[in-house]
Amino acid sequence: MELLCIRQWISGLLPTVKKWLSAWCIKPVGGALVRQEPEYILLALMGSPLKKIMLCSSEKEIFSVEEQVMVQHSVIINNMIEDGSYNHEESKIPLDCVDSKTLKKVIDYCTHHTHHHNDNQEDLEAWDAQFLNVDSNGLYDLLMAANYLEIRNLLDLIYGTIKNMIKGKKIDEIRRIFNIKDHGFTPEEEEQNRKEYPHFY
Amino acid sequence: MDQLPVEVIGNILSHLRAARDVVIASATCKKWRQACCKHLHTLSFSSNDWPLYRDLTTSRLEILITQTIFQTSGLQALSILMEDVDEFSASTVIAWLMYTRETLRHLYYNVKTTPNVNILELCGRHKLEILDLAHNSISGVEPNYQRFPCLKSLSLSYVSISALDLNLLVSACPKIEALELVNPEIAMSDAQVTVELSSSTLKSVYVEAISLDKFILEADGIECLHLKDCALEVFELIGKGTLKHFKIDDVSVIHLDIGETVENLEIVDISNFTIIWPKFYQMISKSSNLKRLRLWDVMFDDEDEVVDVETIATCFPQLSHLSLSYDVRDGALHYGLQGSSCLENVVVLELGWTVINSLFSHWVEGLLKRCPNLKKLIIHGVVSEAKSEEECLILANFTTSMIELMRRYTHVDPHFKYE
Repeated sequence: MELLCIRQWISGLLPTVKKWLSAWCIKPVGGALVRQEPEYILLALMGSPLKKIMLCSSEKEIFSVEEQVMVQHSVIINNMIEDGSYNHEESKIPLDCVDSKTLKKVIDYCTHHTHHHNDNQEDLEAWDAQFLNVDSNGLYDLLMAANYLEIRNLLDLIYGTIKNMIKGKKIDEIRRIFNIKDHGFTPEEEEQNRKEYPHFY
Repeated sequence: MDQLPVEVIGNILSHLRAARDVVIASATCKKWRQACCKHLHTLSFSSNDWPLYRDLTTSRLEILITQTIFQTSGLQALSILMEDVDEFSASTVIAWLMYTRETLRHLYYNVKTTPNVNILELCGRHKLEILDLAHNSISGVEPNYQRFPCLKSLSLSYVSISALDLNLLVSACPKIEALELVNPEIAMSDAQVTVELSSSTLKSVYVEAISLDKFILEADGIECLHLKDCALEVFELIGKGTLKHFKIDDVSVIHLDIGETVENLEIVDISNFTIIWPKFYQMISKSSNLKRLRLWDVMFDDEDEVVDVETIATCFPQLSHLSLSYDVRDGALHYGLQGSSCLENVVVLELGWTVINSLFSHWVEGLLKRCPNLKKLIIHGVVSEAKSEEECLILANFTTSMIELMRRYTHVDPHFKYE
């Protein structure tokens, strides 16, 4: 009810305030589009609780997060909100392939990068390095979640980390690091590879 | 890792870039091989990546590159940057480009091809967005038949191209935003060498080591212009006053014109140049949005001319970074520091000398007084190898006066860079 009255009041103010507010529009981070309707920004300025959305993990746990944070980072969530398939009053976004632990971490990442996007590069990189200090299972879960939600900057970060584990190494070493027990080549194929590139093994 | 879908593995391996690492990855296991075959989008052959490239003969290297490229499909970015290779044979290069041209978006290639391959003609008409070409030649541009619809960024280094073809080339790229010309070999048909480029989409132009009679650039949307190590008689920019960043370094130009409307200029960087102060002042005095001004190793046409702080303060109220290095003489000190207007927004001040004299510290002090909100002071000095006794004395006196000065300006962070 309260929200409706505020909205009506804002609609009246909108024409004169819109131009001034265009300078307050949030800059997109990670390439996702951003909602720029002034009524939402004005709501935030007035101190009303920032619009929140509900994300539901595969373990049916609900996470409440600022809409602006997720919309800035996740193309999937941004699209859902843009095309109106998400109803703020009642629905939640089910993310059946992301477990609670991973979802919490993803939300952490997006929230930090939205609130700290003006920090200097070194600080952000240090935070990212600390953030990715997880075991390999955790890293892959994060990768799958970022891939599903299409969070560009988190994906690039994880790609970079995994790529560094491969770069400059030899084949036997890589197989050890990534626990590849069965390489899937026929014995003839494997022999052929070893003959052609002996120094890569 | 085995849970990851093959496309995701393809994305990870694409971040490897270097062909050596990609070949290793594709021999690691069947799934990774599949990822390299179907989902690899970036591949790079660079002499920096793998020292062993140098041990291979050119034909062996050609075979290696061919084998690796042909095992992929859907490649979007290909980079072949080999410093020690004299040339690749045309048929091989044509094979690489024809195989990838349907999907290729970025191409970086710097090896001479014999006989010459018109690379732009071969793959520019498809999806190519970025082309970085070196040591090749471009000829026979026909905008009516050939257009490069997606090309956004074009960089030509040590490329032979006629002035006419260069003019036609830019007009054949309807979406071009960035143009870089480094040491081009411009063949001309008549005595006067004129390059006339016209593009409404060009945003950034960088020209290095070019020697021409006339260079005319017509670009209504240009934001960044950088000339380095050029010898020009006439340089003219025709636009709509959108220029934001203007930089010239070691350029000799008799007639320089960047247009009447310069209100959007934010950064002006002039180095190794002889300035005719009244003309220069006229050129940039209307740039009230100027944020950074750098006049480095500049000389004045008229020995009595100075850069006066009063003019800078009144013309450029938004200035936040000021860098000045020129021969400070009695005139500069007295007339240059006249007036009382302050540079309110300057937070970084860089001052330099090439030959130190005793006036330098007075100049520093005079400028510090005029920058009430200064946060950082950087002093650049050239110290000659053979230091005379007099020079050592001047340097010592300078150091002493700087220490005394900085004691009074404790809110300023000083840095010294000597070379």
